[in-house]
Amino acid sequence: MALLDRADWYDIARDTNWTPKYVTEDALFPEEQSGTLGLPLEVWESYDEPYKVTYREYVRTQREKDAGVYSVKAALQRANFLDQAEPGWVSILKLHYGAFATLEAMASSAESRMARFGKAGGLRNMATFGSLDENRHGQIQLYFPHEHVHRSRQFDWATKSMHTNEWAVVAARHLFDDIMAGRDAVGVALMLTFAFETGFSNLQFLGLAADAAQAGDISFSNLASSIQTDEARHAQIGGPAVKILIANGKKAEAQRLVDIAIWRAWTLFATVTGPSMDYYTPLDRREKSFKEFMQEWVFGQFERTLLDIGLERPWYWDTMLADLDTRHHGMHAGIWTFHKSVWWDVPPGISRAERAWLEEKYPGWEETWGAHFWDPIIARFLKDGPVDTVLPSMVQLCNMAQVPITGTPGWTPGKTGRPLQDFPLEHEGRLYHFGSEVDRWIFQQDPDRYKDHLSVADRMVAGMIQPPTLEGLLDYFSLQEGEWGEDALGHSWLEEYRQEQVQAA
Amino acid sequence: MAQIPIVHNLHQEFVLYVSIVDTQNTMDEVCQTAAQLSIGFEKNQQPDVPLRVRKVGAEKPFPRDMTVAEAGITPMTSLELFYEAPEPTP
Amino acid sequence: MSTESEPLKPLRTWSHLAGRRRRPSEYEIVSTNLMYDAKNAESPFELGPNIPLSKWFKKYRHGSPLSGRDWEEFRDPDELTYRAYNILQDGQETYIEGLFDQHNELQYDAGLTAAWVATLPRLYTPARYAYHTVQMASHYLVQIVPSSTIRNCATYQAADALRCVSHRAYRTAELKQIYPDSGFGTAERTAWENDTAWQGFRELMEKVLVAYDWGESFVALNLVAKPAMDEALLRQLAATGRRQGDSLLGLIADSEYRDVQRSRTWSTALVRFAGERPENLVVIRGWVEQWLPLAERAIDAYCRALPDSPQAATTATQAVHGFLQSLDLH
Repeated sequence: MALLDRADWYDIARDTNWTPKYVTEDALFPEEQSGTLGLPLEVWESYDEPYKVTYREYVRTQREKDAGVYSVKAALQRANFLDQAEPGWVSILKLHYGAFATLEAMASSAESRMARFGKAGGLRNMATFGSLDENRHGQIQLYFPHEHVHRSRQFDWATKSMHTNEWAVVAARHLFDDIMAGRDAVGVALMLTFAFETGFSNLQFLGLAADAAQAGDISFSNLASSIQTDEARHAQIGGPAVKILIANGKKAEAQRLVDIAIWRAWTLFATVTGPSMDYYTPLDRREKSFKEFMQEWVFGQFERTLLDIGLERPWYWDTMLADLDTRHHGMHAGIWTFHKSVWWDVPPGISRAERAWLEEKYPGWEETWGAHFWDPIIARFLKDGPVDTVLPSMVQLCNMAQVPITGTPGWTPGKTGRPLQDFPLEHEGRLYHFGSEVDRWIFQQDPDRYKDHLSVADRMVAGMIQPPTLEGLLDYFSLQEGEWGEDALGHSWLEEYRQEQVQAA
Repeated sequence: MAQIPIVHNLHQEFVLYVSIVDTQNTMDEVCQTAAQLSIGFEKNQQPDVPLRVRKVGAEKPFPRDMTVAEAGITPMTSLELFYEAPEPTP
Repeated sequence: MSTESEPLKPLRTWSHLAGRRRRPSEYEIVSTNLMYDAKNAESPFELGPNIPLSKWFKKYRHGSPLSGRDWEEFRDPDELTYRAYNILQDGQETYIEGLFDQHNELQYDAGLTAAWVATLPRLYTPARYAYHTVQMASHYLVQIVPSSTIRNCATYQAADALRCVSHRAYRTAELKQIYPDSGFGTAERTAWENDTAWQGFRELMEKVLVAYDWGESFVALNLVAKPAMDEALLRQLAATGRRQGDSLLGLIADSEYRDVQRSRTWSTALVRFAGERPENLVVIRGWVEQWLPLAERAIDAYCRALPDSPQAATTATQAVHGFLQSLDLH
């Protein structure tokens, strides 16, 4: 045999810990960057990553992956799929690229934090590939939407979004700065790779890839599933780190970080992925409901992963399960009612056929969301004509999730979903508001980390947004006409209801 | 007299609003302001039953003619606007 | 005010590139203007200004004496993108794999002299520790530099360092198969931690790794420590190897040295870019003078141990000086 097998030399390449002499271990691995909870280098040497890859394998595999994804894109570019695509699908693409491209580029920095400040050689090598992966995901998710910038200014938000104070962007930054950019290496391993990527990223990438394939967007479907193959590898950085923490008496700390990250990931996915799957994706192209994806991947697969690795179910598991019937419907309702506040056109997704689907997937939807939210709006639109901004006032945002605090409208005991409720907390003389007991609990785990932040609603109240009007707010969001969201169907969906009204009369 | 922002949870609404009230407003006036801002309130309204106001966490509502100032409501206080369940008949 | 302006029209490229005369390259489309946390000096993260890492970034990124430039305007002269990097390195690794394959076929290792076989676990295979420190230090740059265009360069440099680590790990295992009792795979850590040949580079790199100011970190690593290591551990060791009948070492090193040249290309560009503000050149020169003696001692300690290579230290040091002189820094 002329070439060695990977197993013959892999361990040597990750056996790179040494004992520092000219500087102290604490100087080399300061706690604010390293986050190893005082566990010394030797303890980390048993770290064993389950997914093994070498540099040679990496550059070959990744070259091949890119060749596939880029050539499909090139082949399909002339087909101008997007010109014929249904509006809901175009909105999903704008939302997706604006929400994720720059953040993925940022994730390379977080991976690099593990590659520098992690205390295990195997972890540092895997994070080296993770950093490259995220470099890829940033670049490829800018290259693809760039072809569409001539179609709509909204595609510009793939690079613009993170530089603004648009409310959904503030929410995304608050989350990702909490679990990645502003976390130490162990925190990133547990919160970004283990909780977020193992638990949730397949929702966005595999779930959307499935919907994309159904919608005929082969180019995006290919892209999303190719990205997920990288995620599936570097997501496994966190698992062995959890095991080391558990084995060294730090289970409670590990559990706490994972619990925080899962809930925070949930609130993001309910804001972004939930509406995409259940309201934007054209009805006949929906693979599964958001709830079904969640049940299969998070409450099924990820729960088993958690237990197998030696952690417990998060204490709020039942709360999250109940939230499956509420949160993303509320996010969709909020976003549609103030669609000027986002960079994509928002489809209402409430034709009679779509409502029948919602009722089938979410029994009780009609008597809550249908009867107490959409029907009053439809009645008003039919009477007075449609308006762009239905929201009559500033809404209160959660001081953790940074998104509107919502509940199930018309909720009464016994109905599915949960009632609208504020979970306030007074801390050092300031009153905070949270959308759930879990968001409030996260704040209480480390108040110093969160207490100085002002939500967009707080900024409005504090007079930081001037003038304090709709125009002032949109200006603060850096949204102008031509890029702010419209009703994706131009209110043509009202026609069905007008016909009903005529027939009834 | 002063204008202050409050956070209110209106009976069976889907989202918490921030609205501006005057410290001299009575609780009934606060409810009027809030109802104007609501999306689904027409549907949810219970005619002839007055809305009541209480602080989140409190059991009892404030008297209907009490003012915001008298109630000690400070900026960004979180209020629940709700219909009291009718007294059970013996 | 938004209300007074015309509706925004679609553009032909990103709005932040639209004002330029020429069409943006793929590199510019995918690499520029991505680092949102570098904009807010008071609170880099969407949390509080006082969380531990906010303080860290305020001190070591925003507080750096290397300053006063719009770093997002920096461009990598090679315009390297992720997909180009993999095409490039897959080609290089196919070449290396071919070398490994052919030399193994020919039972190359069995033909090495006993004296050289004894030298390798002392001076060659322990270099995986040295290059791993470069990997780590480059990753520090990835997170601390102030723009996405610099971050990209550091990302590929970190990966290149892992490539060097991997080649040494591979050769360690291969040599161990023929020479199981010569210390391959067992003696390296001891050599790195105790052998006088390595203590210079170990001290240098441990100190580089805790130079947390982004500017100093870049200067210490990319302008001084890494060039010193590359000249000694790639160039001079390879030259010694050739004289000792080990040509494979040099063939591998030549391929690795292509990565070195790429690092020097962007490092040179970054020095020139920073130096458009003259105060920055003064700062960089100060750091170079501060770090160079440690690097020279490291070269000296290592090269003195190379058998039959009396000129090695001088040649390596001159090469480092030459690089710095090309930048007008020495």
